[in-house]
Amino acid sequence: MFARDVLPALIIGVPAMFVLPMLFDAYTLTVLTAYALLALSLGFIWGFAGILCFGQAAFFGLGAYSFAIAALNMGSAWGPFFIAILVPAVFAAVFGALLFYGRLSDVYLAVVTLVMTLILFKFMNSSAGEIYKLGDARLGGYNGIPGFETLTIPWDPGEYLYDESLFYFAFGLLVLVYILLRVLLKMPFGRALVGIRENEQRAELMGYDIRLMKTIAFSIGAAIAGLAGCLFANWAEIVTPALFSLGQSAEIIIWVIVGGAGTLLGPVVGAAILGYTKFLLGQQSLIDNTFVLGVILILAVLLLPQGIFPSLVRLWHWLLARLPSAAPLRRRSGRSRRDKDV
Amino acid sequence: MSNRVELESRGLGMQFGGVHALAGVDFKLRRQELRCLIGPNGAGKSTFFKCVCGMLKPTAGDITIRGQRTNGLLPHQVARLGIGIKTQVPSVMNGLTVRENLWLAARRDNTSAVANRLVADIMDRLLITDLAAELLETLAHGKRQLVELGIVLAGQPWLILLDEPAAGLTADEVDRMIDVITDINRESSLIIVEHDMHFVRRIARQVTVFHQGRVLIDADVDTVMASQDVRDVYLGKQV
Ligand SMILES: Nc1ncnc2c1ncn2[C@@H]1O[C@H](COP(=O)(O)OP(=O)(O)OP(=O)(O)O)[C@@H](O)[C@H]1O
Ligand SMILES: [Mg+2]
Repeated sequence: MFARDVLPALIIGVPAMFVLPMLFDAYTLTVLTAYALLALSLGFIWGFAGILCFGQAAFFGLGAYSFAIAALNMGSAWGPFFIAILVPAVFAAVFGALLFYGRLSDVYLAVVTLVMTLILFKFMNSSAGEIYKLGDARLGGYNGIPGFETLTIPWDPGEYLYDESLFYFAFGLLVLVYILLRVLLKMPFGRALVGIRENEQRAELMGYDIRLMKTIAFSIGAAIAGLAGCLFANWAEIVTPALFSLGQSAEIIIWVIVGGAGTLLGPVVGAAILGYTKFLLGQQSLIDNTFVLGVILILAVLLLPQGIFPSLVRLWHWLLARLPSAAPLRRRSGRSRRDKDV
Repeated sequence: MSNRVELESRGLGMQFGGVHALAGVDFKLRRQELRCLIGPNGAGKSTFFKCVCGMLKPTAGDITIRGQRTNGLLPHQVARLGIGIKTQVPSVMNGLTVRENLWLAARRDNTSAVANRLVADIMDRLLITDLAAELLETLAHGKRQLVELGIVLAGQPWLILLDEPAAGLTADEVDRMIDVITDINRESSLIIVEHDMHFVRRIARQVTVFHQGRVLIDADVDTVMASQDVRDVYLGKQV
């Protein structure tokens, strides 16, 4: 498990952490990392547990808002950091239990999670009044919440994490979460989740309580999305209802589809590439942003139906198989275990 | 006490809208019994299985498994009582390998080490070891049937329900299926739904015939095969 799952992630992840800031600006990289984590959260529950959630943005937003509200009330940022993970996780556990124990079918689940996001969006937008106050934090309606404490270096509370240091922190977390998910998917619980994705009925007949397991997976996904939201809040230094928006929810799904659902790395790659594209597009006003993203989605679905990352993996194997010198590296042919576990 | 009743249904009914798929089934299965369940299409055999294993909630009557009333239990709860089912339409995890399919069933109630050993044993027994790394979606129908049987065995159930296990098998595969069933029956009780009368003759001792959601007759295989009532319900088909 260490050699196959943990080591490759470290070998690629750690150098990337130091090389990327030399190539791109750390400020952009940080938000892309938060997006990547968010995509990873949906990639996990959708690609491996088969739960299509149209409302992953809700947990992202909840994480960001929880962080901001807790930071304003506590005046420090490390407690709020954990609260930002815990609140969406608990919310998703309760909400998920209602859905899964109620045996809601997949389509309804997608719709209900979408509605949940819309409700949060509407609520946050209309929370401008004085009464919408949690302790010292005013929700602030569509203006959102600015001016909260952000993360500092744990042993040096005077030193804020920003720019490069915030990127290192965010990227380190991304690698850590990725590794934890890889390990989880190798453990009996993770393998059974994939079994549920493949055939819910058979999983039940084997004796697995799919309601409980899906609820747990949903909650884990929400915790990761909340963590991404927390990083986003630290990066933006303000949280606004746009975090809960329909556009945000749709974007996450597009990242996962374009990157490659059914893999963990795919969504990360998808979020990074599309997030960066959007950033570049944002600097011009010639073509509409959403239009370009829509075109990319359509092209990806038509040309690379498995997503960018699995296609790259296949290209790599194709090249290896054709390189005479690399013959010993050739994979056993015929036995095509799916590249699902990358 | 090998004649203890382990599965019993009383007045079991299952209604779909206006259709009475089961209309009061009284059924008893004793320990280590091998029972064949036959009957024309639509007689309610599969519905009976689904009610027993919790996939359907009966609309009338009771099911008792080893003294415990089980109507209303969910499939995973019934499975944990030690009941395994091979469904009529094969229900397997298509995107996973043969080994992974069996392992998931074996691991539910065992440590990984025990599960690994169990999976290896069962693959040996079913002669599917060479398929271990194949994805289920790439297998032919007969092999899938065999793997599904393997999945059921990996759960180490004491009561096994097989819904048309011989359907679509080649003659060789049928022979192997019969060997395996005989072997399983040394430890577990079995109920087998099957249309193929040659198959039934080769394995059956006691046979129950369903007709229009009821038990028509419940007797040893020779009596059933000789019965005029049974011939009649099969509408002249050779029984
Ligand atoms: N989910 C359902 N909804 C409505 N009717 C159903 C349902 N399942 C079964 N039935 C009906 O119940 C009756 C019994 O079906 P069942 O599948 O139990 O028969 P069977 O004895 O297994 O037949 P076969 O030998 O063809 O498999 C049939 O009339 C069938 O149409
Ligand atoms: Mg049937």
